Amino acid sequence: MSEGRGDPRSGDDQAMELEELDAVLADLRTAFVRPAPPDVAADHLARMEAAALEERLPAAAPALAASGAEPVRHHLRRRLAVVAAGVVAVLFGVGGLGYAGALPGPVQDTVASVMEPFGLDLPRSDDPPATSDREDPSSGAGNGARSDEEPGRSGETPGRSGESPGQSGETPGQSGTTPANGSEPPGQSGESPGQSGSAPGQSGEDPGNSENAPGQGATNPGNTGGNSNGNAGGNSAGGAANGNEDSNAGGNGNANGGNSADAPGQNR
Amino acid sequence: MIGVQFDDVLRRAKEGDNDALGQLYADCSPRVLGYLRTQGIADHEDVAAEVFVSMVRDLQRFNGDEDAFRGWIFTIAQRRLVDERRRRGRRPEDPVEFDAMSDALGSVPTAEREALERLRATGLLEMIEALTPDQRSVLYLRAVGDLTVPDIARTLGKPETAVKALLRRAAATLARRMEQEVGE
Repeated sequence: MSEGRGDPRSGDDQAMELEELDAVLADLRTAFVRPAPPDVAADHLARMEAAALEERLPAAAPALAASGAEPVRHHLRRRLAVVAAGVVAVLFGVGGLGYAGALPGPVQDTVASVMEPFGLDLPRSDDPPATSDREDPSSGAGNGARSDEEPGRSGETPGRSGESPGQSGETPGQSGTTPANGSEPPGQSGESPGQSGSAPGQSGEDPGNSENAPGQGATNPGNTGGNSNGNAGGNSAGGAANGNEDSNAGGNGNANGGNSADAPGQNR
Repeated sequence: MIGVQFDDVLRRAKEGDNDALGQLYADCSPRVLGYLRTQGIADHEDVAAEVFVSMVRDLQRFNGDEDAFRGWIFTIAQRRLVDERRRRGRRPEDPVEFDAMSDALGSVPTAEREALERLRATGLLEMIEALTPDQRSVLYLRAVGDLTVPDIARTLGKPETAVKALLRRAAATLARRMEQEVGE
């Protein structure tokens, strides 16, 4: 016999060769194939039965319940551990979000109520959000008392140049008729900033519609209270919408001085 | 062979019937253990235990007749064998420790011991060990596992034509070496 590849013999010859091989290897089968020793077989069968119980084969289920087999208890313990870990993770997550006040309103209220008996004071949904000093209305630019920028002057000094429309030739916030120009410090006139005796943005003249160019009238609301607050320095040159914007700026203390540069009608 | 009762035995085994599982084990374990012995695995009984535990765990997914079942068991055995070799870093080329086998056969029936001694005397075991790993696996699956060519192909994940070629080459190599032994 020769190696199979390129073997010129017929298929019958090869079949006979395999039969001869089987005959030769009969001893091989006899030598190696024999039943497992009893102790080995018992061990194997015990492991197979345990595996059958673990797999919860239908017929094994009643025996399983009766015996309380260890493998199943192990599975239950593992599942309980997983569930417990999940619950703890959720509690920590919700607690953290609740502490940060980042939960949706009703959930935040619920969590705050639950935690309250434990001495944890979590914010409620209706609590005011924490704000910075700059945004605090009581201390913001609207008061004129403390502004990071000098009243009547924005960082870019809008309305400062003579070229800018809306300039009365005076520094914004320094009109003789505006509180900013009085004896009181800018932004602290007796009248509410930006009101000029009228409701904000409701001066006698329609803001932005006066005969004067936008932001140019002496009575332009944008030049009164707004300027005194240091916001309207930019807003005063703000064009048609300046009346309302300035009034709001005076009342709310929005630090929009820097925005004035972008306002329509400004510096043209 | 379980024979005509195989379907019933398989059904009961799937239902967790321990007697049915015992019947399947009794039918398959001699060949599985024998094949593992030929592969030079020292603790072949532990590997065999893993094979039958895997069989039980995957039994629900098996569908087929007795021949297919036998091939399926040997497929599991081959995978466990690969796992075991990988775990121990042992190459499949490592020789079977026939001396240890012979010692272990000290208490087994005479026919098996005599067969092993004949194999050793003719030098056939050494000739088989000199085959390539694939040829050796195919030969043992045929001789010890009593598998058909298609079953061997499924077990080793090879085409049937490749299995037939491996068998032919193994037979030719063994025949040539036996002729050389006789000539010497």
